[in-house]
Amino acid sequence: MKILIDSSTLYSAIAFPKTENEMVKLLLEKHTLVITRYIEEELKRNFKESFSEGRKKDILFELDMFTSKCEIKELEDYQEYLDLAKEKISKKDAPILACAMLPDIDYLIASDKEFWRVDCEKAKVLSSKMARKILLSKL
Amino acid sequence: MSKMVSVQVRFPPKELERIDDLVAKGEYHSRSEFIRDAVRKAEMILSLDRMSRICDEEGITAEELIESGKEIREQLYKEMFEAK
Repeated sequence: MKILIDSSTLYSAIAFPKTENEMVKLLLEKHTLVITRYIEEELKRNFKESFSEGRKKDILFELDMFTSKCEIKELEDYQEYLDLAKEKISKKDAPILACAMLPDIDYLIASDKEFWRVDCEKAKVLSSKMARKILLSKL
Repeated sequence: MSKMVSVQVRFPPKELERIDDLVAKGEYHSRSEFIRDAVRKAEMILSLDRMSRICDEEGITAEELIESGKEIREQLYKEMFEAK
């Protein structure tokens, strides 16, 4: 299955090792992790701004190593769903929702509650807690 | 797919039997595919662990990254989707 992971879940996986980190590791054993170029760019900028000069290079190297193994969706892939997504969620989150509307995406895992209230057409939207219960039982 | 380079890897026979078993069951097309997939997953797991360690050393929490991420996403949306 293809699982789109929002940045908030990845932040938790990186900085909260006991739960989300374990979940992401288990998920990638059997499923394809998907992110968008938009998510990747947000992660990069956030790391550049949040980490000290001495560690910036290291964290960006590891981030690149991680994201290069994910499937990355470009704007062209989900552009046709963007207007519909904007009707359902705030503009800044619409690109994520639009990507989750792609036919090949099975689940979106997001920590932001705004996503949980939205009907995402095909893909199911899960919190990390729900993902642990539902997806890990399918391993 | 990028160009492949061959390398010789030695495995204990028992390990190789298990890999061949997964190939026979159709979970992988070949031994090579199994090894490539295993390396990819190992790299992702190592990267996650290294990023966690750096966060820990820097004293940066998930909550802080989520908060700053919201502001960055607002700005990024303007640049990537509204500026065009």
